[in-house]
Amino acid sequence: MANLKEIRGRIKGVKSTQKVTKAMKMVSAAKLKKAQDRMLALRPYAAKMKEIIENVTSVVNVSDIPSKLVEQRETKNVLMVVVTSNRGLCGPFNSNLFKFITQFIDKNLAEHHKNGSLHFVCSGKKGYEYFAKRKYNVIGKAADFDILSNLTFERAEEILGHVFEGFEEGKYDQVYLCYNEFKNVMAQERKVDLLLPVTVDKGGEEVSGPKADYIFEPGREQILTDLIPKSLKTQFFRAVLESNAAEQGARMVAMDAATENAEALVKQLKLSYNKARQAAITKEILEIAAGADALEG
Amino acid sequence: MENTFEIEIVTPEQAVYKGTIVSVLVPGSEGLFQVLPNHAPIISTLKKGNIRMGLPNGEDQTYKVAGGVIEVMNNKAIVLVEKILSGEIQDDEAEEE
Repeated sequence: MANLKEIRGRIKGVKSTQKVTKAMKMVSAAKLKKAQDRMLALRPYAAKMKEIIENVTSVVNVSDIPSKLVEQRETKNVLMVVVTSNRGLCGPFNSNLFKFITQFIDKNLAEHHKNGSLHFVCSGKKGYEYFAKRKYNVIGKAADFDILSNLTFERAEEILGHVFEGFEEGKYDQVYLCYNEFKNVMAQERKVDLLLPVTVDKGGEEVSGPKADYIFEPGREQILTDLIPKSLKTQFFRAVLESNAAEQGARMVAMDAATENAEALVKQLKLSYNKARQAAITKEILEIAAGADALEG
Repeated sequence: MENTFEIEIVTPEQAVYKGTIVSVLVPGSEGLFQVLPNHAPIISTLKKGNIRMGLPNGEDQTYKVAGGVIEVMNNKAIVLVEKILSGEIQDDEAEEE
């Protein structure tokens, strides 16, 4: 039987851990609300952007767009842009994404990985640590592409600027964006999306022309050249916001589970504590009784 | 014929302005142009400059923006800007009238 003092110490320890996890859960809940609001704030912009692009592309040939970002090339070098969290204690949030990415690489990009033409840009410290440790080709330092500590559209632009540059210079021929999409508080969906080259979605056959007889100023091609990077930035920014919200959701769930586990552990410890106490008392009484017997005898 | 139209200015981070106005002057990438009610449908990219709106009460409101795109259709203008450099951001919903 473990001794009383030891158990008492453990109970105390578990209880204080529980306090921390409970607090973290509440903090995440508050942050989640904020993160969701930001996601909602982006939605009108993103939706309108998509609509305008569809309007313009419905009358343009992709090959006419004088933007390098739509160029389809032989896939020699691939860049993965990985959006993760900066902090841990959010359950399987990051590790699930890593697993998903590794599977994706094994399936589609195994050769690139072997001959070293697979590059990584990690936005989020956890992703950086994971891939750098496993000797993947990670570009820059963790702080170079960090966006979570300064979650603004401007910062998203900055980061994607590097990516565009690399693509236009031919350093990468394909860029993937990997992130956790926010489904609901409990669930995230892991995503690997092709970011570059841009595939222009004509929106199906039924859209035969623009909704109205628009005047395009400047020409359609120029508008697209201008809008495509903007739309990609929006896409990236959305991914980051989604990931951010999903992270908070995941942390909330993980911390809730941790709090519950602590509760169960305390209960169990209390039981064994009481048992030990009972045993000690019984033992003492037996000793006293035995002593008294000896005196009388 | 109506002499006002709707305008919406949004950035990736917030909705900046939504309301009814009588005119708007925007810094199109081919030059400044003004949009009045019943303007023909247009899509234009914008460069850095000021968006000046004429409100129905005769006042002006100006935003300085870093570039974006405007779409005008059916008496509704939607301006997507990447960043507002200066100008008061309206919190409440549409203007009166």
